[in-house]
Amino acid sequence: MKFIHFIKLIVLLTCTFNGVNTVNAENLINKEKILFDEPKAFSFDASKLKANGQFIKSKAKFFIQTNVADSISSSHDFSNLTPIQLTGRIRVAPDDVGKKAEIIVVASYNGVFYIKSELGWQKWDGRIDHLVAIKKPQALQGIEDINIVSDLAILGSFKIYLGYRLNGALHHSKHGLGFRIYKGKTVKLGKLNDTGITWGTDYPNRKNNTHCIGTIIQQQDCSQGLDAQAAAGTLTKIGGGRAGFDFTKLDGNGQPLDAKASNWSCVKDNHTGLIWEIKTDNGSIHDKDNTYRWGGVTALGSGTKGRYYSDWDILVNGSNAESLCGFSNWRVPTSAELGSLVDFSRKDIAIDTDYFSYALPGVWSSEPYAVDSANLAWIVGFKSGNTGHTQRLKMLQVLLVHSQQ
Amino acid sequence: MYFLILFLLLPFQLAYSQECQSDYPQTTPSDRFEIHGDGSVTDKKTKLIWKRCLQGLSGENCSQGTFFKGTWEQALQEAENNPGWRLPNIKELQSIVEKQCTEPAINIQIFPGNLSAVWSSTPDVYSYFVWDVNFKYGYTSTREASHSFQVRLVRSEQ
Repeated sequence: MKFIHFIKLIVLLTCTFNGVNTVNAENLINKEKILFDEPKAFSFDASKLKANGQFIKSKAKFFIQTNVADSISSSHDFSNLTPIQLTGRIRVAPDDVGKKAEIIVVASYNGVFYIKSELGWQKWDGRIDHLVAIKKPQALQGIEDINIVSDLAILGSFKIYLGYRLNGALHHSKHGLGFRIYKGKTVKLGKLNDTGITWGTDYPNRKNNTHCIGTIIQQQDCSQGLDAQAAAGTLTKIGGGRAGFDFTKLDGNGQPLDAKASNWSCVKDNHTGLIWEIKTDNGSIHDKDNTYRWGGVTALGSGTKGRYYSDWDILVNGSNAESLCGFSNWRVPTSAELGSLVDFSRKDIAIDTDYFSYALPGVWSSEPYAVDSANLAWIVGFKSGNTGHTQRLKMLQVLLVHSQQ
Repeated sequence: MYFLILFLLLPFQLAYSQECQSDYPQTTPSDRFEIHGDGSVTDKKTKLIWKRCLQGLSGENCSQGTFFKGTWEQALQEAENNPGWRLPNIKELQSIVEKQCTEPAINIQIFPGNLSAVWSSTPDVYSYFVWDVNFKYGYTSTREASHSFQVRLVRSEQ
């Protein structure tokens, strides 16, 4: 592993030092006193690039502004899902106002230079005498605003430079505005459950209180979030549940039941939106005493690393076959999903036992542990509520989840 | 020549020791996050805003400064010293564990820097124990509040 990084680094260093992909920039530095900054295609360094207040040689000031959905953004990473607009502004040097000059826009895209002309963007070979203006020479105003590009959504690394040429002298932004457009994915909101903690700790006395009082209490868990709202009586719930939890019991067809119902087949978490299988004590595939080795249907990872046992297929496939609570796409949850159920205010059964009746000392997640061929996978233990990893061949419980697509 | 290369590489070696299994799913892909210019980042999934650097560190790679390390009480105080910010609870802290990687088990593009155990705001049922996330491997544990751990601050989107 380390050796690969070693090689990568050599390549990286070589490329950077030799200035590969910088289109004669080095030659230009020697031949011309004024030139555009060398783009660093291999090391995108957001901290050194400022959206505003670009450095100048002349008394002119150059600004480039990025807008996403009509609001100014100082980010240097943009998703291609929301096109960006780039606007340039030149505060022309006082002495140059009123004089005829050519405004020039240069962009490096993935290490290749482009210039914007009246005809659109075209490649630039890096020669100063080949620079063309965005339009015909014009008398400069005190402030020149330039529409550089609207609706930019192609993937890659960019660097944009501004300048104007007056009497053969090039006034320009020394450092370009650098940014990156990456392939965006729509992010689904995944609300977090609160922890169930409604009490504080006295630090010097080494003791937990029964209420939300204690050392620097405003920073302690009990002062924040849904549990605090529940304790204050300001939390509106769809269903029931201890502290900030909001659960609804469902019957075998997925119909909501009263919180006091004594028979139910699933639990809906109204905050996360997840629907959970519950364990039973009736000898069915859902029995609390059924345990499995890790792997099988809906386990994550390619299946190429370590052992994947198929023990829990009987539970997943069986639940789908019987259309448990009306759903036939049950899966083993991620450790984060499983962990959302933990009530940290309880020990031994760290979950709301009004909804999940049986102890769940060790429950498999669908996630393999990220060490090569380690034969480990992630679990949540509802004795204390911890998330950790253990040997895949251990016999542990599984609690299935269903999420709406 | 080789000596020179090795010399140059030494600091990079440390920074590159993270191991990721690309065929395992990412739990915290970069496009879930929106980085802001002020050193904070929004997690678009959970709507939480995090400081990119551990407390005490700054700079784009969080390589400047010395990271805060203190008891739980000192951690609470550290959070209190940063108006608008708070110590995350254990579920919030777990939500930025990257399960595709270890050493550290975090998306280092979003949260640069090496990590070990980080305090949560969540006390354990057993008095004087507090929950933490070990970001070297990603697991949670409870430790006596007198241990010295790191701090990463959070706030909720308004």
